[in-house]
Formats: sequence, structure tokens, C-alpha cells
Amino acid sequence: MARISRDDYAKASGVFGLQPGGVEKIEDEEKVPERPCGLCRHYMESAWSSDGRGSCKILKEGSDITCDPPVFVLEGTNGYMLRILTDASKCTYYEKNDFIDKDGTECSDPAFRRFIRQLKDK
Amino acid sequence: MSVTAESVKELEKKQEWWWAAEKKRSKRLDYLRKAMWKKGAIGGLYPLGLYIDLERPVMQTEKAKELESSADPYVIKFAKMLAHVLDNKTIFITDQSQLVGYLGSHPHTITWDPSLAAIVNHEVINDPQAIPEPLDDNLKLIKDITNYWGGKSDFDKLLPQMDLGDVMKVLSGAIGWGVPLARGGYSGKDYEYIMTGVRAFEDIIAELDNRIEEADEKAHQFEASRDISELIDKMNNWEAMKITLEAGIRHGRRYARLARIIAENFETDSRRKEELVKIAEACERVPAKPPRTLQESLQYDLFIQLFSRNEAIEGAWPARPDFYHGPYYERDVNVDKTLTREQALDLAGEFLIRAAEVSQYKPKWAREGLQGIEGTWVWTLGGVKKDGSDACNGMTIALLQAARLVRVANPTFAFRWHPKVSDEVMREIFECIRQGLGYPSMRNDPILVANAMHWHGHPIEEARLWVHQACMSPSPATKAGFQPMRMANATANCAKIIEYVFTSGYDNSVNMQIGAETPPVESFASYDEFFDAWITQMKTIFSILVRPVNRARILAPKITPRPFLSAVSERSVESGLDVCEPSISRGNAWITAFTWVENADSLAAVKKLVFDEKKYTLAELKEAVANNWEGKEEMRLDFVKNAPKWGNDDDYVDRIMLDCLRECAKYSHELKCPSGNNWPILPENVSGNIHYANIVGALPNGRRLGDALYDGGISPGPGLDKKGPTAVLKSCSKIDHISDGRAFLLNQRLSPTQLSGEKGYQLWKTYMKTWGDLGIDHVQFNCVSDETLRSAQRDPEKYQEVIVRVAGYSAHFVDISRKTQDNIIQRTVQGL
Repeated sequence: MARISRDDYAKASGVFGLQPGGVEKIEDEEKVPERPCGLCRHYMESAWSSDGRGSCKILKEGSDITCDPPVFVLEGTNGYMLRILTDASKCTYYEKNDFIDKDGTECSDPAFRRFIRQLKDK
Repeated sequence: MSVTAESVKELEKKQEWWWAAEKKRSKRLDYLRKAMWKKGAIGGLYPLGLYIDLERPVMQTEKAKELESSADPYVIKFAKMLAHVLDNKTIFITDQSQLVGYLGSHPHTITWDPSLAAIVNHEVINDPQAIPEPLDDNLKLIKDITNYWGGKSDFDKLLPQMDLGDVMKVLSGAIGWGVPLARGGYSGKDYEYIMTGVRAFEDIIAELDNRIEEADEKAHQFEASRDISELIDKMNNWEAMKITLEAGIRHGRRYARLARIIAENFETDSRRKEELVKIAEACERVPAKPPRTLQESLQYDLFIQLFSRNEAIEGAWPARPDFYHGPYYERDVNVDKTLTREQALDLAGEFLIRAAEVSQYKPKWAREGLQGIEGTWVWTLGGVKKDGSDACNGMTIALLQAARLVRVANPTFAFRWHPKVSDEVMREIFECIRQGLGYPSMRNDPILVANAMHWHGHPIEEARLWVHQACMSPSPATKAGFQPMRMANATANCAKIIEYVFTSGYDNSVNMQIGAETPPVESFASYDEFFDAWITQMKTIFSILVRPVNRARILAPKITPRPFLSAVSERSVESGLDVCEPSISRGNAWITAFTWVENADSLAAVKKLVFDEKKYTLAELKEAVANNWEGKEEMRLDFVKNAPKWGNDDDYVDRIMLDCLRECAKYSHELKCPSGNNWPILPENVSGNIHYANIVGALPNGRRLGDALYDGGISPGPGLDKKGPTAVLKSCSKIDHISDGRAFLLNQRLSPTQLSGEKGYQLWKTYMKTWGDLGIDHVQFNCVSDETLRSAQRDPEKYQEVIVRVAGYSAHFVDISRKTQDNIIQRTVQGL
């Protein structure tokens, strides 16, 4: 397996919030866009933590829905890593999920659970 | 309230043990128990009313900023930061208490260490209900703190130094748990060094001073060799150790001053005044000097645990309280008679409560995998001494009795059973189990001593001094034997092994290629080829999880040192090396194997229905599981009912289980830890079977995506053990509990009605004899009726105190998710 380059890692870990500036500004974590990825039926939340990471079931690694124009890569192995609060306004594959589990007293379901403070009223 | 013998008896007859305990315990214990806040997360959520403590992160961050411009080496800066927190954090003394020390600034707080991982800090920002008011102001504070530690935290420094591919896979959360962090796991302790009454902090400080002086002299000799350079690092380490010990002594004396202030200025009750003076005297004594009394011994132990948690998040609490506090109990209660048994019981009960109050903010996988508790505080009781003689003593009995009075879910006990345990102790254990505590779990001591010698080469005298490192794995509490940090990163979601055989290693729940790209499953022409793919996936997953731990252990002394833990460890005080330095440790690593039995059941189903009976093809099965058995219910039920299941003394599937374990055991000898020792597997689960329910896809044992996985270790699937308890034991006994793995968790559910009276005790004793004779290393019991559990689901307010054994731990039934509750109710009730 090819070694992951540090650039690719930085990009992905930037999504992870692991590096400084990984989220552009911490304040951006309060911005809930009209169409956040976390409310899309194709979004899968991280199974490790509730720090806001996840991936897309349709778009693959190399995609970027935040740039203008957005880049959609449909072929490939790994899913496109993004965050619950990533703005999906430019994504043509966005479909609002009918059911979002906001009950934190049951365990992780990457397909349905978005139990973060910022989405409490969404 | 006066205790009426009848009312207690009536309650016990109705098996309402919790109300009976309330009536039986002393006023002090009753008060302290009711003043306690339960800290475990329910599902993934901290309960309402608990708040993240912001005092410590503010202090820590301010000190870190101040030290940025300091020329001190990192380990000394870190030690100064720890000392700053201990010197300045809010302290308080709970009314009626005799033991003091608290991690948070208030009883209802969860401590948060922002220097561990940015990923966890972001979880804090996103937490829906644990951020204290005023929300806006505190969110800003949390964000400022998070911003400061971004890139500086332990995890942020460590990750770029690891294999990035491994990191991505670990952080997906699909195949495992935990973090490869020296400050985020479970720390054993060198109890033989620090808890035998021979020395305490001042003695160690004196030794450190000597060593620094000697080293300094050597460092100025005419030769300039590599050794001289290393001496400088050692002196820095010793200096950091000293800083933490001195801070610990000062912290104790802060409590002493507070106790005296309260006694002299505020307390009007003369009896309580005396108690406060006693607290002051204890805290002036320990941790500076060795304890003299039971109260001082427990206080000393508590301080050590809290200081260790001041330094790191600790998900477990390795301890052997009866062994190390027993001599003080014996002296106070039986020799000097300065304590009555009831007074000693109060102290034992309070010690349990103090431990139950500890809480540190954890990431989601930990909250969901350890529902209802803070961590697996499994305290080791019983066992043998170094010479092999019985180690049980008065403190063993006091702790067992105290546990029934205070009924905390955590800590729990695990009892090291051996053939010479007295009937008196066995009866006390039986009462704990019968009264529904779910603990102690029973450990077969002769087997586990041999196991420790087999896997990690611990000499027999050290192996006999083992404690539970977490909920299952033995680790000696000795100089070279103890494990300073068990990084839970090596915890595998083993159901993924069989899942990846069908997906060629692709994980659909996190959209990543994680496992090996084995050939398409439909291409396998024989069971042997299928099993070979299983072995490949097993090795792939295990190696992904182990590599980061090995790397982190090697990097830990420089990047994430543990000066306090080093200070209370003989090998570090002697060598000047950080306690995590692999070269001074024998190594005691293991891979926790969650969701394990699904593999044997699935392999058996594939072998029988696909290869033996040729009823289905692998292509058909692959499609069925990929679609979550949709439209294939008849086929699914075939795989559930008509394929043999583990736990029924059926050689067909039992043989497959052994094949799986022995392939892992073979591989365990190839995988080496940085100390050069082996990595055996340990099947068990905590509440990982619920946490992973929506992360593991459909499986050939008939499971659907979303179904709870089996409850752990080598326990049969709920309801799938159809041939009674002896058949379960017989299946389990086919495993060699010494060489096939590290240990093997077995849950059994017993009927409370059947266990009543002397007859019940004799039945249980017979069961235990069979278990012991069969050489099985572990068993633990749930003894609560379905009726009580269903009532608790309907009226949780009335059943707040019902405890169940979840897996390697117990929890209050109302503090776990509904799905976990249902899973426990589903477990087969065995008739003895």
C-alpha cells in the first residue's frame, strides 16, 4: 500500500481538527450552514469521536465541495473526509436525511446520529 | 432512623437488596453514598447535572503559557504544570468524610485535560449538555483553551510521528478503540515499591537527591562520553519526579490546613471536630511519610491515585486493596484495637465511594464502550502471597461487606480464587453475587499465575503478585513487571475480521479500505482458503492497532513523559529513565479482542451451510450480508438456527474456536512489544457490543446490522447457549487458558431464586468447583431477575440502585442505554 503523503494527511487531518488551523477558526465550529453535510443521508459520522468528523458515502477522496467550482470525485476507494458542519450548499448530491438521531443516550450509529450541540435545534 | 430487624429481613426476602443496604449501613456511609454523584455516561452522554470542570484547564493553560519562555526541558515544565494544579486547585472536605481528595473542583464536575488531544477538545466544544453556564462565556473560554493546545497536545505531537495510514484507520473508529498515549490509558503501579509501608514520598525525594548528586559529580568528570550526556537527561527526569512528589506532599498539607480551619472555626459538633483533626493528622503524615493506620493507608493510596490522574487520564484502576491495606486493618482492628470492625467498614465503604467519584472527560468511544461507569475500576482481592500461601485477610472481608452496603457500580472487585480460599471468604463472595452486585468476578489464580509466566516470562514470585491491569488482564505490581501504561489502542473490534473477508477489507460504515485486500470471497473454493483469508484479515487488523502502541511506547519518554508515575516506580527512580521506557520493563502487553465469538459462529455457519452441505454459495451469502439480509429472512434464520453455535459443547464449532484462538496465539508470539515481549489476545467486551452494533455489518452467524453483538469474551451469544451451564463450561474448558490467550471473559446469568439460602450457596459452590477443575480462568455473574429489570425499565426512578454486570464491569441498570439493558435481559438464565 502506498505511503500516505504528508500533504494528503494534512488535508485529511485538517478535517480531523488535529493540526492547528485544521478548522480554519474555532469560531467556525459555531457556524451551522443552511445545508450542513451532517444532515445529509449520505454522511457517515466518525465512529471514534464526536469531534465533528465524518465521511461521504457517495463522494470519494479528492472531492472538495467547499471550493468554487466544487470538485466531485465519484471513483476511488476511500470516502471524502469532511465535517458535520461542512457547508454542502454547492453539493449536487445532497439529500436531507429524513431521520437524525439526536438522542445521546443510545450509542453511535454513523448513518443517523448527529449528537452535537450545534445541531440541537436543527 | 432505627433499623428494625424485620424490615431488613423483609426487604432481603423480596430481594430488594438496595433498600436493605440503605437500612443496614451506618449513618455516615448512608450520607456519603447519597452525597455521591454518579459519573458514568449513559449511552454516550454525560448525565444531566454533571459539568465539565473549567478550573483545571484554565490553570494548566495559564501555566503552560508562562512556561513557554522557560529554558527548562519539557519534562520539568510538565512537572511544574502538574504541581501548579495541585498547589492551586479548589479543595473541599465533604461532611462526614474521613478520607479526602477529589479530582474536580466540585463534586458534580468532570475534569478535562486539554493537553491530551485536540480531537477530544473538539468533543468538549460539541458537547450538548456538559458545558457549564453561562454557555457563551464558557464556550469562548473552551475555544481559547482549545486554540492554545491545538498542535501542542500529546496526541497532536505524536500522530505525525506515526504511520499515517495506520492513524487514519485507527481514527475511523471502525476496528478499534483507545489512543496510543502514555497519558491516556491505564496505569499500573509498582505497589511493591510504594505501598508496602517501607517508604513514602520523603524517602523517595531523599533518594532522588542522592542520585542527582552522584550523577552531577559523574557528569563533571574529565571524560566526556555518551554516558555523561545521558546523565543530564536522567538528572532532568529525577528533578521532574521530585517536583511532583513535593507538590503531592504540599497538596496533602493543604487538606490538613483546611481540616484544621474547619475544626477550629466552623464545626460545632465535638465528635466531628475530632474527626477533622484526625484527617489533618493523616494528611500531615501522608503522602510524606509511610502510613501508620488504616485511615492513613487508605488516604495515602487515594492521594497516589489522584496524583496519577492529575497527570493522565486513567481508564482503569489497578489495585489490590486487601493485600496492601490488610496489615493496617489487622493491626488497628485485631491487635491495637484502635478501630472497631464497624469503623473499619466505614473506612472501606468510604474508600469505594471516593473512587466512584473520580471522573475525567473521555471521547465518545469510551463513553459508549463503558456505559454507566467512568472506567473499569476492577480491584483485585484474594489470591496468594509471594510464597503461594493464601493472601485473604480481614480487609478482604471488610471490602466485600462494604461493597454490599454502599452498592457502587464502580469500583468492582475481581477475586483471585485458589483451592485454599476459606469457606468464610467464599460465603462473603457469594453474598455479593447473590445480592446482585455483579461482582466479584472470579479468577482462577493458579491458571493466571501460569499464564503470566507463559506469556510474559514473569518469575513465579512476581506473577503471584498480580493485579488486574484493567478488567481482565493480570499484571504484576512489581519493579520490572508492572505495566505503566496500557494503551487501549490495542483493542480490536474482532467482528470486523469476518466482515472484511466478505468485503475484501473495505469498511462500509466509515467508507475506507481498512483491512487487507483479500481475494473476492466468492472465489474461495474451500473452507481452508476462506479461513486463510480470515487469518490475513486478523493479522492486518491486529498489526494496525499494535504498531501505533509500539511506536508510542518508544516515543513516550521524550514526548509524553510521566514524571509522577516515574517517581513512584522503583525502576525509574533507580535508572533515571521515564517509567514508560521499554528497556526497563519486562512488558505486559495484550490485545483486547472485542466482539470475538461472532467469528467462530460465523465460520462454523459458512463451513456447514456453504462447504459441507452446499446449501448456499459464497456469492449468495456475500450478497445477502451486503444487503443486510433484506429479502432473505429464511436464509438468515437458517444461518441462525441450523449452524452450530459456541457454548453448547459442540465440537464442530468449538474446534473452529480453537483454530481461531491458536492462529492468534501463534501470531501473538510474532508480534513483539518494544520490551521484546509478546502480544497475546484477550477476548472480552465491556459495552463494546452495543457501541459497535451500528458499525459492524451483517454477519454469517445471522446477525443484522444494528443488532447488538454478543456480550463478550467467550460468552455464548444471548439465547444461543441451549444446553445448560455445564455445556457452556465444557465448551470453555476446551480452550487452554494458559497458552491460547491472555484471559477469556465469561458472563453467566443466574437465577436469584435458585441462589437463596444454604442450598443456593452449595449449588454455587459446586458450580465453582466444576469451573475450577476445568481450568477456566474467569467467570462473572448477573443475578437479577427479568422481572426486576423490566420493572426498572418501566419505572427507573424506583430502581435507581439496581446493579448489573455488563461485561468486564458492573453498572447501575438505569445508567446504561436501552439497547444495552435489553441485551442483558436477553442473556440466558442458567439453572445450576
